[in-house]
Amino acid sequence: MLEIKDLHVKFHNRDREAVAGISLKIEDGEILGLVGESGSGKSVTAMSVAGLLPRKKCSYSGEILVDGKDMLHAKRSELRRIQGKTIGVVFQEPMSAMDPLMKIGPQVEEALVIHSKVSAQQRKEWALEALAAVELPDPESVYEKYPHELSGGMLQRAMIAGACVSKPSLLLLDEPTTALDVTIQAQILVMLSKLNRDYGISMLFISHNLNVVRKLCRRVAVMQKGLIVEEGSTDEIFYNPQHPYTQHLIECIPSRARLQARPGKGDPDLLLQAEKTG
Amino acid sequence: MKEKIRQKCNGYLVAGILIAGVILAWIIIGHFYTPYDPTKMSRAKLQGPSAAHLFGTDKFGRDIFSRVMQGSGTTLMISLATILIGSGFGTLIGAVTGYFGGIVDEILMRLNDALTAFPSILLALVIISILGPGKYNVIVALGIVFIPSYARVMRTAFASQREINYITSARLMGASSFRILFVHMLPNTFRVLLPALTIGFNNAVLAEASMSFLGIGVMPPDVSMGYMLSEAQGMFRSAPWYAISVGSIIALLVFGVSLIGEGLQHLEKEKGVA
Amino acid sequence: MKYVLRRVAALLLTMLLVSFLAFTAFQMISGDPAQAILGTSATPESLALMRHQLGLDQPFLVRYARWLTGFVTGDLGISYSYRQSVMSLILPKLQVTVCMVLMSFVLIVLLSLPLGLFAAQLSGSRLDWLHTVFNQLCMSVPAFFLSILVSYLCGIVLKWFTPGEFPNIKSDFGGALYHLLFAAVCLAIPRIAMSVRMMRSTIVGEMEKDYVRTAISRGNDRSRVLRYHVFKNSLVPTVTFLGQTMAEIVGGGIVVEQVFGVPGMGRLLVASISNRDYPVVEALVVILAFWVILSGTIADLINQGIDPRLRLGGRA
Repeated sequence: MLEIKDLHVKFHNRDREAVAGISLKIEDGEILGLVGESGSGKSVTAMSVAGLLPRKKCSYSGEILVDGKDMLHAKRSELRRIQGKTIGVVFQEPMSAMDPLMKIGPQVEEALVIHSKVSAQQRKEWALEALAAVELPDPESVYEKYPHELSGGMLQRAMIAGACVSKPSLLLLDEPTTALDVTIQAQILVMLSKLNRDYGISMLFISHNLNVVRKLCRRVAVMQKGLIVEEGSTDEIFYNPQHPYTQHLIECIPSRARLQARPGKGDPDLLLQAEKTG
Repeated sequence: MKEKIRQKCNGYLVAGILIAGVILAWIIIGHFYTPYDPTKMSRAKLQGPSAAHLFGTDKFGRDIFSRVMQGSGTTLMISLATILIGSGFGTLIGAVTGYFGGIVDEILMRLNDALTAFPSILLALVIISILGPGKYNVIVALGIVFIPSYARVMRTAFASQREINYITSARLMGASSFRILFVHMLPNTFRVLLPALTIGFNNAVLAEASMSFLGIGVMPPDVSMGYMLSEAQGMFRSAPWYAISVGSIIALLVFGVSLIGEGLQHLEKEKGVA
Repeated sequence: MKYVLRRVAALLLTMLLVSFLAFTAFQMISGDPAQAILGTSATPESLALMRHQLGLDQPFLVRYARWLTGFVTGDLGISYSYRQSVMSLILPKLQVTVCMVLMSFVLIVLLSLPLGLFAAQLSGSRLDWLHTVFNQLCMSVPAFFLSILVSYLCGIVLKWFTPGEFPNIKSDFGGALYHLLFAAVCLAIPRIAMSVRMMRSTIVGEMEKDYVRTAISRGNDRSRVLRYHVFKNSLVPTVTFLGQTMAEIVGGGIVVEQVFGVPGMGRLLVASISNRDYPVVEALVVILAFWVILSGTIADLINQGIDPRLRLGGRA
């Protein structure tokens, strides 16, 4: 599905490389978690995959293959054919990531308008389906709302609907739950793993919070200062961290949560139970 | 290091300082020395620009170069005095409202909104209709008109600093409000004030020129740019070079100063990025 | 609909307040109108009679109420220097000025929107400085100097129109408009430069916002992002600016009218200030103030149409 080979990215106005040579692989239908502190290069990695690097402001090398196509060196016009169709992106702050003057409906549909030649009616139908798939109550009315009329959690769902509407094979989630409070965070994680299960969408899930990542992903990569310092199954990383930085990250999780949410492994039902009891 | 020097010498700033500097120097020299007596009439009437009379002569045979050189000084004086009044009182009001906030702030800012919505020339005209024309009344009128826009800018500059740590710590250490405002905060507002001053200077030049042009600004025997333009308009068919030279000097001065303002803003932006 | 009503109510209230302030101010500065009308040779009896006729022996609020009703019904008092009703003096000038200002405004809107978009696309390119310099140059040339140049070039050299000979707007409407066109262009150019600059920086600022990145991640190209997202988001400050422009060009128009010999409100205002003809000045100031408030309100209403967030009663 996705293969990153020896990716380097350096911004002209920084001395250090933002991404200093990383390699990653995501199989079809897999969810990979990417963890690290802010500034560790995880967002830059995601932006490179999405083809959103400001190319004039940085130098880059390596390869990013999405279904065999190199996103890093593709022409703008080729990128646009992939963006929104094969790859969907969800950003951290739903409030600023949505156009404040456009209703939710048209924003969710936008990828369809650009990528597929279907009738307006068909588009609306699909958009409503996507809004229902992200478990928004009353999609019809959400469709007609403006972003400021929705709560952060609902907006993030709408954002995910917009990223999934054209059935992409890869979803990039850049700290999608960081701006939300804990209960909504849990609901969205559950919803995401259902999307993964029902539609077979592969996901790259980025977070600085190991605890969140553990609930959704089977495999985790830990980033520090532009490098991947440790990679493996969630359980391995969590119970037997090798790298001191990973150990440090795990120590930062409150101990009660560490003990309780034992099962994890992306099982939504168990996960929700754990959340309720915890 | 090289990069830094290149940034400092941004083109707008250099070009602006050059243009405005030359014009200003020319005007200041005009205060002490002019090639001819600007008011002396001669027999060389309505002559086009030549080596003897660079900008030609008017219908009384006066040398336009000398007239503009000296008359621009009045405009310069009025503009500087205007922005001094405007920025001085504006800073005071902005400091008090921005720092203390509260109901006074609310009322003053609403009033400010209402005043800035009006065309400045219109307000100046209304004040002049009360005070009567003349050099000093123009200064007072324009000064008053310019206060609100400075108050607005400075209020934002002061308010944005209110919660910054070192201000809070200065307050905790028991520094008086006066000291905090004018010793700690004021220097940090200069980067906002400086571009605002260049814009204000230009607006003052243009406003003075408009008012004197309309005949309700500077009155003879004083001569200013606007007064000369209205004089020039009267002899436009016979001596078009008069209007063109006065107008060009105004435009060049304003252009130079606005380039300086543009340069200052670019400087600020680059600093923000680095 | 509710927010429209609320905005209109606020408009009327502001107008009332402004008219009251103006009335008070002019009451304080204008001295004794009876004296001004009758001149210094008037006897005390005729002065007293005149004061009674003018209602000056009434309390302040009553006089304000009478003046206000007069203003609303079109009775603006009598000019000191022209000895005719202010209304009949102002009305023909008002028509001329409104024509000029509207023409100028249409020019500004039609030219600055596309130019602003174009300038935004230039931003960051090698030609950016050229735009900045040209822009500053247009803003630096005073409107009246531009007017003098245009009236010289188009009037005296090219003979497209005769400066100083303004056709009667009633008998020769087309001719009057043609004459006004030159004034309108001079009035528009500096404002166009300003609004292009304003739009450029707004659009450039919007382009850096997060929703633009989202739009690109959905496969939008730059021009589609500009047309469907950024343009609309930049429109709110632009409309506010155009509302201010509507007010500002009336002020600028005063000078331009003088140069082109256009018999409009600006010239009347200047003449009345010189003559200390307070009833005329007062009426003109209040009319202009209403104009300013009205254009601000219209801009606000348009903005509320564009941006649903403003309908909540908040500010942009």
